[in-house]
Amino acid sequence: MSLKKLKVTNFKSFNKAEMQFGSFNVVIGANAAGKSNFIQIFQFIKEVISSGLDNAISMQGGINYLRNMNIGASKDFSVTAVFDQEMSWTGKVNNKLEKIKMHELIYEFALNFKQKSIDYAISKDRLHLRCEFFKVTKTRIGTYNDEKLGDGEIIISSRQGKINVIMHKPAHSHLDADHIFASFLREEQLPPHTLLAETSFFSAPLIRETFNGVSIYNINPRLPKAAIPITGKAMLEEDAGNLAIILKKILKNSETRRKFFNLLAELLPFVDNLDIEERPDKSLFFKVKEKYFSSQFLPAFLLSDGTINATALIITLYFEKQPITIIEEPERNVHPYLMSRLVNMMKDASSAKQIIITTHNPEVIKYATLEDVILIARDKNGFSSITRPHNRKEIRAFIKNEIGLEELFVQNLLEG
Amino acid sequence: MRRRKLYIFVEGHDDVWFFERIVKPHLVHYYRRVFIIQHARLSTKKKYNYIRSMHEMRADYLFVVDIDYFPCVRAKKEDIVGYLRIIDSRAIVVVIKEIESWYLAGIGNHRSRKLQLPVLESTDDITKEDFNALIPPKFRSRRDFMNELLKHYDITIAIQKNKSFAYFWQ
Repeated sequence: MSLKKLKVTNFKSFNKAEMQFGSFNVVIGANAAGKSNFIQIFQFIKEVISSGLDNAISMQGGINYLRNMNIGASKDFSVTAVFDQEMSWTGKVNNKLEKIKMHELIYEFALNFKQKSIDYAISKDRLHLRCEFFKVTKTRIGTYNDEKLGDGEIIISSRQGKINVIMHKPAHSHLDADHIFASFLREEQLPPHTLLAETSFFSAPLIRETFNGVSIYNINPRLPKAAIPITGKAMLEEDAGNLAIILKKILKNSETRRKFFNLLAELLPFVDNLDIEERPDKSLFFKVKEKYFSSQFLPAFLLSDGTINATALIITLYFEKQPITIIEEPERNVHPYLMSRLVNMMKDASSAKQIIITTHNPEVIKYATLEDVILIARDKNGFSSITRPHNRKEIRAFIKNEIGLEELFVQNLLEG
Repeated sequence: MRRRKLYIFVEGHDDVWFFERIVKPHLVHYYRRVFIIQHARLSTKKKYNYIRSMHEMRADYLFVVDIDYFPCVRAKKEDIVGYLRIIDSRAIVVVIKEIESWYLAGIGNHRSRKLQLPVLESTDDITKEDFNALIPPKFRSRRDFMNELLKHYDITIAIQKNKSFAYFWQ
């Protein structure tokens, strides 16, 4: 699964923005350009799914801080996310097997605001699944053969809480919406301020699985320095506060342990060993043995921020299972000498999962390729705009004449 | 529609700030975008590569330099063309003597008295050292003082008080 495209209107510093993503994406921009607001789009949708729309809006500080302060109620807030998402469903129609393979998921919703009020209404809520339809036949030797019937799409939408399912299918397919979604589910009426993404309705698991596949990290190296209770999430938390728990799991398994130390040696060559200590009070902390001290481990609270940051980064890149990983300023506390290794590691990891990072560090930009870079900048009206510098001829002219991307960034020449 | 872009090369940070605050707001009416590039720490090869890029992309550029120890503008321009052969000499802007003289030029007599500055008829001969010596005691920070000057800057006065600024502006 990967995120192909994201569109947003009237959200924080964005008026109207659209961005396309590759496997490795370096989102750059000056301070207050809108990089964190870009991350907030994902946070907001994830919050909608986990806590509901009203709570998600409240977590953003309310309607007034969700939407752009200059645009206010004059324009809908909207978000559209397009994912490459593969999923299939096989069903029997008239005693014949048919299969639907989904390859693209588009989820969009919009909120309409009332003037001089903090109230809002859902003006759009739509899940669009692009699919291929197949006839499935059993071969002589008992295997199944898929014969493509054509392309189609399933559109699930909610209008004033009423759910509607439309299926566009190839002429030779006998499937219809009833075969996939029970009609009683389609008669469900969603309560006000409720999106398809947050209901128990059949479309929600698809949306939930997709957005839960997006993990966001903003590593705080101070948190893993403290001992933490042995009870905690099995996934690395956004701030890496539960790093000791995750490390314990990794170090227990010989294969993940081998892989972890191989990768750690590249970023932190002075680390000889790393271990977890469980205290009698049922708390955990991790400790590191440096090559310079043959027998003594250093407890986490004595480790440098860079050591903790690098350790957490390796986990986000190689050990967390979510297919889309967003990391805010991964280079924090990392020595410039290690930057090329860090960027190479992120590129390497992006062959298995989609990586999106935000940065304003020229050293990171120096080792990224032009095609990976997405620039967020404020336009003259104060709106954040999103561009890909490699599409611009003047940037290509600079690069051709050996002026590095990082220098163009430092000189503030990347803006269009 | 303003389609062209303008790149202004300036020497150091004080020049960047002056051009950002005073010059750029006027030029944005004539250009689609105005960029300011600091060139003091760029190698000759890098400057060459920048200018070659601008020729290739058909962008306009200005190359702003201090006159330094050169006797006249022409000599300074010849020196630059000598080591930066690609440059169009018409794009070279020579500041006499240093950007600090342009900072002071835009301050009228009334404001000068308010800032506890001597009333200067001309700032043509002002050097960086002169400027530093003129900073009133109440300004403990040079940057604070420079920002105060830009806050009260009057371009029509600057044109009268500094010949090189007047030449550049007109």
